[in-house]
Amino acid sequence: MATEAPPVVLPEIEHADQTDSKTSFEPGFLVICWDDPINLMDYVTHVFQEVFRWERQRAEKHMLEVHHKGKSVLTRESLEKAEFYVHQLQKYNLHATMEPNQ
Amino acid sequence: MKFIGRNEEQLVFEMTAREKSLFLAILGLYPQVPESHHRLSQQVDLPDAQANQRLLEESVKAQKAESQKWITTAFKEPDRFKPGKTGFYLTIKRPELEMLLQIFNDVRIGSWLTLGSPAAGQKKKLVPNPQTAPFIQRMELAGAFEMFFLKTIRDEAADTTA
Repeated sequence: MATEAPPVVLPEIEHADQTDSKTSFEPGFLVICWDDPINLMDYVTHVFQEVFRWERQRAEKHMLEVHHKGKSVLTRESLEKAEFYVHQLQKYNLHATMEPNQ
Repeated sequence: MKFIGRNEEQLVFEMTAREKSLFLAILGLYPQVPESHHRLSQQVDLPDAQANQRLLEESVKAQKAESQKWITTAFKEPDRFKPGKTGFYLTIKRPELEMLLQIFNDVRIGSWLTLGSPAAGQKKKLVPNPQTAPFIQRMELAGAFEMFFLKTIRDEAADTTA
């Protein structure tokens, strides 16, 4: 049985001092869309598609959740990204806010 | 108002003189929703809550100023409305549809806010009087244009996926 020679170059082990764990593991902020009696259902679906680049089916699922349950959590993000999405949704006059994910 | 056709960059609609006049009248009412209408969060203890709220309002204000400027210039362009057999042909660039949707929705929501934000069931029972009638009319007209453009976008998406 042949014995293997030790490798000439040992693989470098990278120490991940800076990882993207901030976005993955920190609680972050929830971007929530709340129900209101004025925005049209089709309009809300369209806005979700535009802002999040979602397929119509996914956008409709969240729109129906807003309609039936009073709110829908659209995404969980870092502070800056959550702010960005809330700005985008409010540009269309949707009732959207960001809340700490507790 | 009818959707006539499109190419890669723009869409063409046909409208009567009356529809054109209503279309421009509703656009002329923009903006109706105050910048302070939206809150960034329901929590008051967010980091830099006040500063971020102010930033949000400034951003909304800047965006509305831009849209208002677009309204005042875009619909004076000579190629925007071309005379047709039954009225006019309106040409809209694809990204402008999004702006139109935001504008009509703003007028619709602003009128609803002025009417005291009636709940869904109450909206149908709104009785027009000299004070409320203009706002009910604006809300309904803006809604009709909004639904028309939403349908156009939906049909267009269905055509491209078919």
